[in-house]
Amino acid sequence: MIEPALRFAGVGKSYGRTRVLDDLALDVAEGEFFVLLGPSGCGKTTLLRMTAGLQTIDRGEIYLRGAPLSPVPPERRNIAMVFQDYALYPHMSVYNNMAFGLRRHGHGRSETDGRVRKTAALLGIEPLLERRPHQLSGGQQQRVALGRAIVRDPVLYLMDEPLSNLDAQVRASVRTEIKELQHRLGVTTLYVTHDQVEAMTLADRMAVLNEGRIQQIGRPIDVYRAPANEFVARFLATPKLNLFDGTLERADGVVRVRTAIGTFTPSAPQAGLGERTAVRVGLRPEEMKVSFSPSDGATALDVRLLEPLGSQVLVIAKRDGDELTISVPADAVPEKPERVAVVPSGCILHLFDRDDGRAIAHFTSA
Amino acid sequence: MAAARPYLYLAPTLAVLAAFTYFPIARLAEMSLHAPGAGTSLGPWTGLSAYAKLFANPLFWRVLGQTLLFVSASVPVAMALALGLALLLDQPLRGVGVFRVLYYTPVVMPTVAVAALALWMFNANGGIVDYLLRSFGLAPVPWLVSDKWALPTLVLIAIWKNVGYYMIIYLAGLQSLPRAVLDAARLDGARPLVRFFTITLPLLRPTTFFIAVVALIGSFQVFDFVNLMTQGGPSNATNVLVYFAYQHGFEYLQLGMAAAISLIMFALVLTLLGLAAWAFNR
Repeated sequence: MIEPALRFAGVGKSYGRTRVLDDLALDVAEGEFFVLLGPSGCGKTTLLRMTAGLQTIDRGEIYLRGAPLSPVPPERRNIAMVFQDYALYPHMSVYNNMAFGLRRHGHGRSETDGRVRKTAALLGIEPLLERRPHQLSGGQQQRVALGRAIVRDPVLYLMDEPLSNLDAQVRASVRTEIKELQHRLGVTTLYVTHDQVEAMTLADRMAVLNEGRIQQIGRPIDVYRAPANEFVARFLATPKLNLFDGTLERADGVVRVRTAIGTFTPSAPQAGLGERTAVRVGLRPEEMKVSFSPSDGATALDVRLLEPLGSQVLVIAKRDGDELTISVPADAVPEKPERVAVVPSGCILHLFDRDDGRAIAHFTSA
Repeated sequence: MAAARPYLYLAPTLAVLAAFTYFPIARLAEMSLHAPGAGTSLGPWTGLSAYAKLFANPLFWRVLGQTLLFVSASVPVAMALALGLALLLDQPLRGVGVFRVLYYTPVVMPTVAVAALALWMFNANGGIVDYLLRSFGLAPVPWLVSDKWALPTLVLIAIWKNVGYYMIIYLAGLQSLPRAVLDAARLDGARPLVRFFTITLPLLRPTTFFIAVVALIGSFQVFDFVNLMTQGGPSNATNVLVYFAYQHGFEYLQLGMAAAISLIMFALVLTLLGLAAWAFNR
């Protein structure tokens, strides 16, 4: 097997008695764009800062290209980091911001100049070279911060929520830029975010973290399709995962899933359901079929609110204590819908163990 | 009317300042051009003769030189010490708060108490400083009684008294520095000393400027230690501008001369502050 570029081996970190990270194991391949996704406080930034050397490793070890990192001070790790609030040197020009690291590493004047100008051209920030950071927009500042990381030609990029201080439009364009750059430069990248869209769009592979533990590692599409547990499913759903208690009913060799919003039958036999009868059922708003003119016998819900998003409309419906959010194409929604029912076929269901939340099955209903 | 409102709010302070600051300065200028009269009234017009007399007096030049020496010795040293202490006390040490309080204590001590303490410590007949020097096998120093050592001793005491104050301001400045910028410099390969000179110190510029202004003004106005400890002696070795003005005004009753000295000092401080502002805003 090829040696991973970055290996976390049993890494742990505690603040006092609080375990921020617990026995974390993870391999990142050379050239891979790896995203750590998780809610705030899950330990993802701590992991990044430990990799950078800005925080000590309490247990385990991090290896960069096979060499343990803890004996190496951050100054000599040859790792570049992009910070959430850019962290540009405010008293230096853009040029000097980018040249700073090169000078520290003993590069000569002409080489420094060549590399700064080449990187500036790559990022389209040449006209800004003489400006100070406070004269730049947020997007420009983050581009300079990227430039400062790229120009050093490090073995690893660390990115700590680099897009979260930008407004939506700039965020999308810088996101595309980061992805293109990373593919072009092929430098291993560890990227931290709490935004699932960023994770989905950027990552070659990702790890979902919660409370200092890895919940799932995989390609974004695999994690999305088959979340390993209820937490991952909830975290990777916009706006939110619909969760219901479900009962498994078996008759004539067929298993049915009965919930408060309808009864579903898997389109293919599902091994792994075992003998259990109680499950949790997760349905993503965008993975459901609904009808606004429910037939008799269907479980209808009262439409409470419509949230138009443009091409899609979020329909929020209620029945007794249960609330359901469904994402529907805008042209499929009638003028003032009063009732809505889930069509039992063609929905994607995620079944979880009621006790520990582990995923049991993911299937499309017949 | 609405446009005038902000000025209305500024007016009361301005009125107080006018009555107790700007008017006295103008009055001072007037006094320096007149012979003293009876009570608070002005005597006959003397023109610039007070200034002429002052400039012809070698003692004035000596006092001016000693003042500048006092300022240029105490301000940079106190600021450098304060920054060093602030850097130490910015570390995540156990019990760091205790040290902060300890270093700040001289600032809250009344000057009279500090002066009395210093007189006792630097006493030429069995003061503790000489005792310590002797116990290290060093010769005792005639601190306050020799004209060579008296001014440096006052500088030492002033530094000791002020360093805690500057330190607290530096500490506040250090703690408001953006941590991520310093982290970025580390990852860029900058070692501690390089980080200090290329990042920390430049980012502390506004703090340094503020302290420099406060320290400059404060040390030009040094009077209390001189008055309490040496009365300008021995043989004028510790005489400084404010004390010199005080002597003329209240001992020799030459109010015109005192006013002239005060105005010269005022102009000097203003010029220095202007220079400092220019240097820091460049």
